[in-house]
Amino acid sequence: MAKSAVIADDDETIRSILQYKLSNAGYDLTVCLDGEECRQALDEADAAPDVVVLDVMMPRMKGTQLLRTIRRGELAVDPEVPVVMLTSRGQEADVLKGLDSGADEYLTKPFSPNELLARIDRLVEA
Amino acid sequence: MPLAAPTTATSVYGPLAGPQSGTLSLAVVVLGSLLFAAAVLTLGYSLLAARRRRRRVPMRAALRSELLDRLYGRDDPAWDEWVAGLSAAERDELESLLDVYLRELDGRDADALAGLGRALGVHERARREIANGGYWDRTHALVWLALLRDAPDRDLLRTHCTETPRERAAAARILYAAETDDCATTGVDLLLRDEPESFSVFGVDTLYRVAERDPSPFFERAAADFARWPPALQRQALLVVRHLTTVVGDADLSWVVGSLSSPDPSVRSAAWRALGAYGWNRAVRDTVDLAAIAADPTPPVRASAYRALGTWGDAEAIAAIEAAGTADPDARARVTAAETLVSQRTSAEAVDPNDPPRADLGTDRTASANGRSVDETAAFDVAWAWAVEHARFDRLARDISRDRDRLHDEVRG
Repeated sequence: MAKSAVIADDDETIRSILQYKLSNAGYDLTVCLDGEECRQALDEADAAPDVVVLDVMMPRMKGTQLLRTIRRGELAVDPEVPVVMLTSRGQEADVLKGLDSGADEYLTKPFSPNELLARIDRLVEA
Repeated sequence: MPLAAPTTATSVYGPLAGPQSGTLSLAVVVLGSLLFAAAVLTLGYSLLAARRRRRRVPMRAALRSELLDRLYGRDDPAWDEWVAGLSAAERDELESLLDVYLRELDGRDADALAGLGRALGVHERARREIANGGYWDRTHALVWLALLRDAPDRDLLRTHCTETPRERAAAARILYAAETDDCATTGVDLLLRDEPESFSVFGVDTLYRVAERDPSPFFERAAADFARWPPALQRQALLVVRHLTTVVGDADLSWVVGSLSSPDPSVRSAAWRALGAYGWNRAVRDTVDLAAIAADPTPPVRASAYRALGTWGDAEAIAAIEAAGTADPDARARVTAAETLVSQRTSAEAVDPNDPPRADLGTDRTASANGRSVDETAAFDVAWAWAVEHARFDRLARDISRDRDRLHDEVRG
């Protein structure tokens, strides 16, 4: 059975990298352009991704805000779904805020897509 | 008798006749023609630009796809071979794509993309622009070299890239990006050359990065020159120190402690914020006079001190907040002290809104104790109640458990 992932980033470059790497690794992708679009995708009745990749700073809804919504069980998606946060912020406080919000992994930009894929695979296989 | 009446024009001052009228008509015609020409040119240029954009969209998409294929889908991307077969417009577009991808990628991928930069001739062009170009050409070239992690000869940087603090920061940033051995020494020299009034945000960030790589050159320079720097630069240096934390090792921080006595309150505040990150450093802490906090005449400085002590978070620091903060004459500083003390409690249940901490008070809370008036105590009670309520709502907003209803009732209750 194919693995599936939801990715949300308002940056076209990041989306293209994630799409290329994850689709080549066998993931079925749902690609969202901002936080609100991702919230709607994760609230659909059949939403059951193996992993969610979220940018922190996105229009309409921030990644950390969306992550809290997921973890509180306010969406149709499994509240325990693995979530990887991706952000250009690298300060300790921001990383801690992301992890406090329930992130399973936290990568800062610029990032290595190979490292990201390895972390995603580890979460999905766990 | 003339065959026709002379041409006239009417103004608010009366009719214009003869040469005046002709001049005005000519001016109107010329102005109208110019406006018409400008409108036609603007429209034409817009249409041309739109056409170019339309042509570039599919070109960019095709180049992006090919770039990703070569980057991830092959052992050898063969950049030179690819670039050799591209048109000038395609090379231009590919360079723009390379720029955005280099900003997002790290590690092996970024190294591979640097090969594309070489194939496009960016490395050589950037060096030429630094040596011979104007300010903006050099800045553009410095950005490219930082993205490509390609440090040029240091003399090239020292000779041509020192016109402004921003340019010097861009030069230092290349050394950081390329991870050169002299990143910190040369970087700090470039950044602090000519003792700037202050850094841009980019400059502060670059100073932080090179100092994080090796803090010694920055700390040695600050220990020697800090007192001579203008307040804006002092604040920025303290901001960098605040974020370096454990990286500093046993570096000399006496100048940071010394800046608690600066005549400039914004520098004293920045010093407290910096020291907040050094609660682990007993040697530094022992040189800080906590009893002097209450004597500082500026409320925001005292508030910064309370936050710093809260970050230290041990019994000695908390006692110092209770001693000064619960009797602080300024309402905002009292609230900061209360918020800091509330955040130290291990759980929400441990915080009683009706039982604020008391420093140096006896059991009789209605009477004056140790010189503290009933009014002062009541004032801190208000700050404490506010801080407790705020902390509860903050916890609710951040809570990610599914037991949210219980928390909601608790806060409402």
